[in-house]
Amino acid sequence: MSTPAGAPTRALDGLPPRRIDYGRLFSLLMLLAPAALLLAVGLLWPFLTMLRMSFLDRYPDPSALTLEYYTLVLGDPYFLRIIGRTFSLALVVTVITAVLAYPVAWFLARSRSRYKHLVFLAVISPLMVSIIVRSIGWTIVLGNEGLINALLHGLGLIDGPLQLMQSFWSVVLGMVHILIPFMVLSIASVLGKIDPSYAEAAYVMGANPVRTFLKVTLPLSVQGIASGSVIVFCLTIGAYVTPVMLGRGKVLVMAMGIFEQMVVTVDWPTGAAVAMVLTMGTMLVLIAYGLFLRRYSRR
Amino acid sequence: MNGSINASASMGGATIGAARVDLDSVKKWYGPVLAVRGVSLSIEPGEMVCFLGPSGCGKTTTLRMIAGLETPDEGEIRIGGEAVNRLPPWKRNVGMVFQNYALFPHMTVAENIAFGLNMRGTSGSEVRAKVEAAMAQVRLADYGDRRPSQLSGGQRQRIALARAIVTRPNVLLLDEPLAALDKKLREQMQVEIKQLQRAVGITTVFVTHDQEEALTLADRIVVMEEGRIVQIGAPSDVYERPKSRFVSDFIGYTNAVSGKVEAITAGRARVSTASGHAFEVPAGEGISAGDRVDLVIRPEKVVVDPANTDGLMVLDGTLVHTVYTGAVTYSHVDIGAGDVLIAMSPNAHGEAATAPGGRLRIGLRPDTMLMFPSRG
Repeated sequence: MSTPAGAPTRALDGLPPRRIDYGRLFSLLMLLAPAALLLAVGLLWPFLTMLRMSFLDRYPDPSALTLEYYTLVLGDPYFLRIIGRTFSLALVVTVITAVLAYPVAWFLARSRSRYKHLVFLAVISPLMVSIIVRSIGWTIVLGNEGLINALLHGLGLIDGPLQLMQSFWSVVLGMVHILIPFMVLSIASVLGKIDPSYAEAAYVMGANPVRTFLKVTLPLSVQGIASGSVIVFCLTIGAYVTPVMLGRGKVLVMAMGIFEQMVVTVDWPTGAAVAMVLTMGTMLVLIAYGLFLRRYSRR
Repeated sequence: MNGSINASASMGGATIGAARVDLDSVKKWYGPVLAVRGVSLSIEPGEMVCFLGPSGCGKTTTLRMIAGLETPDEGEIRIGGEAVNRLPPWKRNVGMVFQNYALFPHMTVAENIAFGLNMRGTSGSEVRAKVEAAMAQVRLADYGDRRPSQLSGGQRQRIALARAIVTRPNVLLLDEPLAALDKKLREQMQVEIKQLQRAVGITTVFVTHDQEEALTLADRIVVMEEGRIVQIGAPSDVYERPKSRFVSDFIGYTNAVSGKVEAITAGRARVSTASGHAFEVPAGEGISAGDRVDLVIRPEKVVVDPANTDGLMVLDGTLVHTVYTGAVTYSHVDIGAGDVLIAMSPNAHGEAATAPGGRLRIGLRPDTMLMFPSRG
């Protein structure tokens, strides 16, 4: 027991020293090649182009490097509001989705009910309908002549129509509805793999169900919440269709801002700068989140 | 890794719970299946009892009912005289080692052991002291900062034990605790578990399908079959005096010839076999002249080529085949009409000389044969 605690070596554990198997490495690279090529052409190339564009004076006639567009974007209250709104939207949607999805995921992972398959079908059903159809569906429900207003009016509870659309929360509602399957499936797949004997061991050691959940099951399922959150956060932050349909131009998000700059005002460098802010911001949030979860699940 | 658990290390002063455990006509259904069919048993304080049986015999379900992880549908379970049927597991104060150990992968070894103490609201300094004592007791004092994934199977087993006893439970429950280990480590852990159990004096119930484990560890063995207890007794009782053909087959080699009871006189039955032999064996209850019976004998009670034949019944046979296991050899001897008896002989002078197909004499004392009604 002379090795420092927590630092086992491969030799001590009786494992052979690592060797690089070049044949294996080559076949791995070949397997990765198609996906890597697609990423390079479809993502890396446009990304680098945009990056260049955002730093160059007068694209496409590059003369000098400049921070002009970034100071423009980050100094403009209009853009700052859009950036703030976009990140809060993504954050709120992620949190709500996680809270709503966890119990459903629990049911899917643990229940032996015969209605399990029906619940599973209900969970993934939003994925079978296109985003635009679902967004129009919410318009039918929330619109001025929509279901809710008609109902409330019919009951005599309101005189004029309530403004349910065109608000931040109507966009949240639509986004949660669209993205919840990803969260449920991510959490359920991890919950399903947790050996039930962990919870039983906690019970026997004196932990009631609430403490067992908080101390054992939840930390063990953090990976599922993490992967679900990353998917939901990234899809929300880049969302375009749902904010347009349910916000009716009143809820401006960054994807719309970029579109406006590039297509409407044909100001590509500013659009590129907004896109870079979006990308970098997302990456920063994801890194911070990853570090936080790592700490939590190791406790 | 060799050496034994430090039996002298104290668990920190106060006496550990050595509670009596009573099961009273306990039954459990799984849907339409009656998994446990009325089990009654009293386990003395400090006793080590083993539930032994094939898979599906209800032994694990019974253990889980004592832990509170399953609820009996009928009957009563008492721990220390108190009925616990309605107590959830987190209020029962039992310790349990799971078959896969169930060590929390997101916690260090020390955090795993501290878990039960923290749930009981033990103060921080006391938790540290007890965790350290428990780790010392299983001889893994320096491993507190490791993750379970960084431990070997035997080390995980010991940490699981330390975690189960650190809270000083009333009863220690072990569910197939050695099944995941290889043979050599299993034998070593058997000794360690026994020493630890003696040292802390805790009432212990463990479940196994391995007869050798049961014989080695238990003060009393409870043999179960299809949800029922078929025999309770000390290891030597169960081995030497099995009450049924099932028990004799489950514990030890199957070694039987069938025959017919010709007559019973003065407590002895005369049994003739197809091979033309007549065995005079002690008459059992419920067997009368004319019955078809099986005669069972342990292989170590059959002597190959006996030098001294005093009091032995000598049979001539043909060696069918031998199983060499290192320390001993098992000789399968055809004594006529296809009746095969297995004889065990120690390899004190090297391997046996006779080759399969050769003639071989074997000797046995008919007194040591057990008679059971034939299973048809």
